[in-house]
Amino acid sequence: METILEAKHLKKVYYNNGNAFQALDDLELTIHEGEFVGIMGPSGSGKTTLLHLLATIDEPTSGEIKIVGTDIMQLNEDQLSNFRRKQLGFVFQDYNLLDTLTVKENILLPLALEKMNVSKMEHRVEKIADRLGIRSILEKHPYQISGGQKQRTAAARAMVARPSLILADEPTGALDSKSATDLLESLKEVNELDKVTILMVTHDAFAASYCKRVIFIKDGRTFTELVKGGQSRKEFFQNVIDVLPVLGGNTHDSV
Amino acid sequence: MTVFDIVKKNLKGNIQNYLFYFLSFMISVIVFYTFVSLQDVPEIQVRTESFEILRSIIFQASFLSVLFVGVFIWYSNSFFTKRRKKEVGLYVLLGIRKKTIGKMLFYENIILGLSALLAGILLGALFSRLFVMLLLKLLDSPMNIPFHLSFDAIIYTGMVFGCMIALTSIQAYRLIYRFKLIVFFQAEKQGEQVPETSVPYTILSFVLLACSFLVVYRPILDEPIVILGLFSLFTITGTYLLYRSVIVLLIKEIQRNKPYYYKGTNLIGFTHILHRIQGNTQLLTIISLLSAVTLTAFYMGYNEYDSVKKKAMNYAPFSYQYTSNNKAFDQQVKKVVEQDKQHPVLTQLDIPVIQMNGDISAFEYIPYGYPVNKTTIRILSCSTFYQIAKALGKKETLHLTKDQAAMIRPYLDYMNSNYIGQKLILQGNHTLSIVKTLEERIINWSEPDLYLVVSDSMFKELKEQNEPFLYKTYRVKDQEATRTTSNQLLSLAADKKIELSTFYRNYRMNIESAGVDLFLLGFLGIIFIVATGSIIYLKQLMEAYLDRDCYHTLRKIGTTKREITIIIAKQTLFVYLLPLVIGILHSTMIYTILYPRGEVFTMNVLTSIMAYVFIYFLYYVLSVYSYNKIVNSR
Repeated sequence: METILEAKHLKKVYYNNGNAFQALDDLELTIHEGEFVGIMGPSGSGKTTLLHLLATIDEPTSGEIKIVGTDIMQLNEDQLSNFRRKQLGFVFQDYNLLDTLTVKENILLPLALEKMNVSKMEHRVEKIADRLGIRSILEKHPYQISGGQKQRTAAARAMVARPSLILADEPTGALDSKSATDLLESLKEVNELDKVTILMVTHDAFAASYCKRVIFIKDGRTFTELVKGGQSRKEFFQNVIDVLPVLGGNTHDSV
Repeated sequence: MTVFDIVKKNLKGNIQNYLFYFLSFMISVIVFYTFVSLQDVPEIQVRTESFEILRSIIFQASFLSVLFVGVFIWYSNSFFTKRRKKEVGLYVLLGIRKKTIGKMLFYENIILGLSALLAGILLGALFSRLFVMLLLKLLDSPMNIPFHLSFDAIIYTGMVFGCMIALTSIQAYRLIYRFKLIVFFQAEKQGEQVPETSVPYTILSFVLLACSFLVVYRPILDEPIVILGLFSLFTITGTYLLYRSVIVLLIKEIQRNKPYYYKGTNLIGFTHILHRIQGNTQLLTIISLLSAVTLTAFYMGYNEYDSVKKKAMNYAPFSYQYTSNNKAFDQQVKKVVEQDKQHPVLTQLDIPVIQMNGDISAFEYIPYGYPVNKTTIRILSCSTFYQIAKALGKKETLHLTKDQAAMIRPYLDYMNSNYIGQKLILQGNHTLSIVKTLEERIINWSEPDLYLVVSDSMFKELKEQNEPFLYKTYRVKDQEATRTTSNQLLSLAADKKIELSTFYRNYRMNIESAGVDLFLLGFLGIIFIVATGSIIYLKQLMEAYLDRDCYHTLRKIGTTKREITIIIAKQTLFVYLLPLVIGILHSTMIYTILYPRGEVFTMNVLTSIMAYVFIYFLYYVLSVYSYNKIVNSR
């Protein structure tokens, strides 16, 4: 299996008025093609920092990040933008959809930026919309649809350009439990059927239980790791829950 | 901690938020102060022949500038308060009482306003020096001006802006009472509605604009006022509907062209324009129309100023001209003229003129104020005409038979009538037919002004019954600057009750009125351009703050900074270019109404347009820069 992401000796130190704060301390992470990996950790553990580094919107203090073989530290700003566009897809907690565009236009935006031809573009949008169950709302504007639909639109946008890696930052954070379940089912489906590689940061054990592998981080280091293997989702959920008290912090706030 | 302390801390902490408001207030003060202080500059008083008129014109024009400045300050104030709603909401959450918040905002505005007023007056005093020099240059008497503080102008500016500060401060105090509390916590509404397209409105817009074209180019009616009225009506409603409906339809049409619309960043740019247009329709319409008016006013002022010398040359082609009937006076004049060593005599010419009555009742058009049957007519001989033409450096030729005559176009003939082929009867039953109209005057104007040139043989025959009188004329070098000699001669002639006219006097009168017109129009034009440009600029900034999240998202999904800059540049171009283009189109139309026979695209018009475009371009660049800075930096 091809290695999608390889991070070695990642360090990130923030300086604020002369005080140094170490957000990441010698963190290692490897993700292979077709994986669905969850990252969990208490507030301040460094999970958001890690996501920002992987998303190439922030730079590590030291260490190495390779995504599909490219050392992203060697890229300049414009190259990074292009890299993000081609290799990465993002799903954010607060959707980040453009209100002026319709759902369809929001989804095809990455393709438009790639200047793809129209029929191919529309075909891809329809396919991904079918997969995520948002075909019927393609002509609506984001302010006319529900939170769950918004997040599925955002997920469609993240996947439509067929990136190597999808990064999801608390995608269920703003959703009610029904919408959250729907979204997670959808993510699981595209992961299993289309072999899309997903990295999801969450503090929700329920969301994490949909992953194939969950990495727990604490104080900027990898704390432990759970692999689902042949367990059912419920069993895996229980295992995740069991780690949380050991991990400490205020992570077990939702089920 | 008193309320006053919080206010001071607020001012210090939010400096860049306040900076723009402060600057726009201060610039308004500078412009206004400069303007009113012109009434009180001793150098202008000394240098101009008609200072009282200038003074009253400036005073009147200052009312107009109060209007512009007032609208502008009101607008920037509302921009400023909008930016601060969240902050006010925070105060409410912290449990500060409404009255206290109101007071805080009130004092803050007063401190800000007063310091802007003070700074504005000081800088205004510096700038006014520059503007006075510019005005004197336009009046053709450039000189260096010392620094000067005008007390009257300070009082006047203080009063006007004091009122504005008071009004905006009261408005600031009322902010917390004006809105429901919840408003302070709501984000600005994100997705403005996409306007509906309306085919009937689109058609109506084209029909109205076409009508306004027709009114101008195929005039059915003769009355300029009626034409202008109809034109305004058609243009205003047509322009409004254009923005309201035609532009929307156009963009929706573009959206239908998917290969183009879905290409790169076009998608974002066009939808943005579409979503913002409803909120911008009125603004764009008003700015387009006002641009048209400003531009037209500017062309007119520029044209007038530019033709001053030509006008003066037409009115008084000779530097000095008087009726000679007294040898002693002739000597006196000669002495005065020759004493002026800076303006040596180029030519001296004696022009014999026969004055007699005639009957012009056969004329198709009779110039204003001419008695039909017994008009006084002045007659020159053809050979005199050639002498004059040579002296004035004109290359006109004239071939007249005995019963033919050439007519100098009367000064009061505004209609550009055609006299060729028409006949008149001179006293003693000589019938002459007009074969040529001389467009340029060849002799200084005086009443009566119906001049004919006849053949030498006719002149000889007429001379037998009518003794000619003699005009003595001088042409001197640099006649634009013959102030001393001109005044000396005029007072000399006034003593002796002799009719004398000078080029200089006419030139000065013209250049002063035209120079002042140009200056005022230019000045008001600048105030206007700055005000509208700043309003568009503020509007863009407001949108930038609203759209910040949207651009951050675009950055995150991998749009490069350069691409975002391109989107912004395109989108902003639309907001600046559209009113500019429509304004220019309208202004050339108005110009065509006002100067039916003038060329539309003269150098003057083009220069005015270029200046306007240039200033808008600067605003455009500034807008793109600021917008970019707000949405496109990490």
